[in-house]
Amino acid sequence: MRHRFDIEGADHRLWLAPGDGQPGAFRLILGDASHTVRLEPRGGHHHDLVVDGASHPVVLAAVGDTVHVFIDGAAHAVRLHDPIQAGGAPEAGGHALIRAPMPGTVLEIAVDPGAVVQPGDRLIVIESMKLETTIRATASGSVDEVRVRAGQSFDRDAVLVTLTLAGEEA
Amino acid sequence: MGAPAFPFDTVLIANRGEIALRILRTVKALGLRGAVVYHALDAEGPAVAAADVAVEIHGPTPVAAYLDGAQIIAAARQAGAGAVHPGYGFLSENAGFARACADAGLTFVGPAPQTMELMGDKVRARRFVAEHGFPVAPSAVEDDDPQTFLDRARALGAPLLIKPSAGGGGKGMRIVRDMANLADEAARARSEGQRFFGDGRLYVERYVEQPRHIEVQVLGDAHGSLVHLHERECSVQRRFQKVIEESPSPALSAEQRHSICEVARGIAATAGYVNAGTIEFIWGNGDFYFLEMNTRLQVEHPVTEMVTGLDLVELQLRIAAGEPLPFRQDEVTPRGHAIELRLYAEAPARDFAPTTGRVHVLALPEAEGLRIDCGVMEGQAITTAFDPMLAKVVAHGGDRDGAIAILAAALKQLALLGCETNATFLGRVLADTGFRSGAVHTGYLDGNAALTAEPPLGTEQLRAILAAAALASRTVTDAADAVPPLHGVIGGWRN
Repeated sequence: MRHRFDIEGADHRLWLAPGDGQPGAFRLILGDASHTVRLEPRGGHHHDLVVDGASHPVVLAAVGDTVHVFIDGAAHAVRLHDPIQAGGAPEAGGHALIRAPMPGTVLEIAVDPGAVVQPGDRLIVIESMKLETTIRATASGSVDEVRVRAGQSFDRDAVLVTLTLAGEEA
Repeated sequence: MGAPAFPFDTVLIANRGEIALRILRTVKALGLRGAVVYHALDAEGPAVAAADVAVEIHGPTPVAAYLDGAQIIAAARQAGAGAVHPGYGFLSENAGFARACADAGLTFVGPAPQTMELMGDKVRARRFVAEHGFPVAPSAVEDDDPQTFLDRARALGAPLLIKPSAGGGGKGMRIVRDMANLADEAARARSEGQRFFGDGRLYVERYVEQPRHIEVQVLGDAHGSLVHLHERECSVQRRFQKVIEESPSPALSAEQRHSICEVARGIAATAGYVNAGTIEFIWGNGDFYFLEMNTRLQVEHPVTEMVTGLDLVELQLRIAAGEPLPFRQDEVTPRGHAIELRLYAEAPARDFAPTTGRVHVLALPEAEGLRIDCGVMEGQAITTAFDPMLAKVVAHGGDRDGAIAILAAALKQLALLGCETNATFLGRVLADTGFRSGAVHTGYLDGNAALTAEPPLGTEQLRAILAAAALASRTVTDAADAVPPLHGVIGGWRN
């Protein structure tokens, strides 16, 4: 999912996704490049940050929505904006709202209302910032509503699909 | 244990932050008990944690608490203290407080009250110094004869600096380079003096272009012995406050060094000065003039300690206890070069505006020749209630380049997270060609945007910062774990 970070008032967007099996490794998508990243603990707040195999000593403190990063002799306060739920975390009432991770356009709708889905099933394919992204279910359930249609534009955080979670149906 | 050499066994430190901690260190090393006073805002600070006794003081403002002499003397009594060390700032140059300590039977660690009154008053001190034949900038005081003031000013020659007599902090000061403008500038300075200080009287002195600030540490005992401990140069300043201090001064030749140090020793000896003090000079074009005397320990005293190998706080305490100086002038041999950086909670890029926050992480490097006097600890809130200085990073090298190298390496490792500081700015000054060559003056930082501005982050730096932030954020890593592998989530790139 896409996250927004603020450094000194400048907005930065990135994706973090699981890595290729290496323990603790993730893939960082920044702009149009992808990097293998991981943190190796060095005791206390000290870590080695490994980016594409190159190691950098860092000191880190996550406090609330801010991560303080000390690297190469400089401290940076990096603020995480409210996460935008692309995957659709379960919400109250046994329903899940699948929201748009960013503004974009619907390319393809893969499900109809009533469809039964499992975690990882394709729901909608969107395009945003030149990136084609498949929005998938994160829980088992059935599709209640598809609130957009192919070709439609939407704003960030818009609800695309609603699910009734498995086990919650009457 | 005990300390038979001292007529007191407990010293109350009437200060806070790094200087309270630094004085405590010596007090305890001498086998004495260390007591501190503290305002509630400092309750979680390192001085309270390190003190043998801590007494809370109160005030309408946090600073007012540390200025309340009666409350501090009561705290000293409560702590069983026999001596009071005032540190710097607050009550350190307050003759009334020194007198009140003596009246309460407490040893004040500093000069005699009458010396503080003489040398602590700028106009009196200047007169005293001039009367005894020491160099002061040629000047004219309006009060001496208002009718002839402008004529006397004109006779001094350009350039001139006009100051309100009641002034301070640079307010109302005007530089006159063309005598044709003297009357106009004087009128403006008078109106500013009236506005800022309610007093339009003026004072004019010869202005030194691109002046350097050079000061000399002196130390006198109660037995008539007085030595100088060589000079410190403190020309790198912002808003009239020192940022970097060093010893020796890169500006002075051996003869000039000898000359300025001997003048300082002469001034202090003539004043009958006892304890540690500093004589400040303005230096320019090979000439130097007495500026003022600080009748106390200076912030930048570690620079002198590192080159001389002396503990100034210990010497202050011994002198206050009536001991004679344990060495003569010719036994003071400075070695190498020491430089101090003041780590401030401020944003150089925003005109050095103070910053606030909480110290979430504090990682101080250790290295040969490196000393860090730090006044904050992890968990502590940084507010604007007090001076923004957080710590002093001091290095002692074989030469100036050696000291700079130690400091540059230390800044790369000194991690203070949770409150913006001037650390990267200090690093840029250390690397600056002008600073490296020693060609600085008190206006060097003014408008020097190349030093004050934070350079934009490079692509690789930004990538590393974002990667570290993402990996350190539970919200982000949890979200990554919750979705299937990347290739399933993100389709092809579209162009």
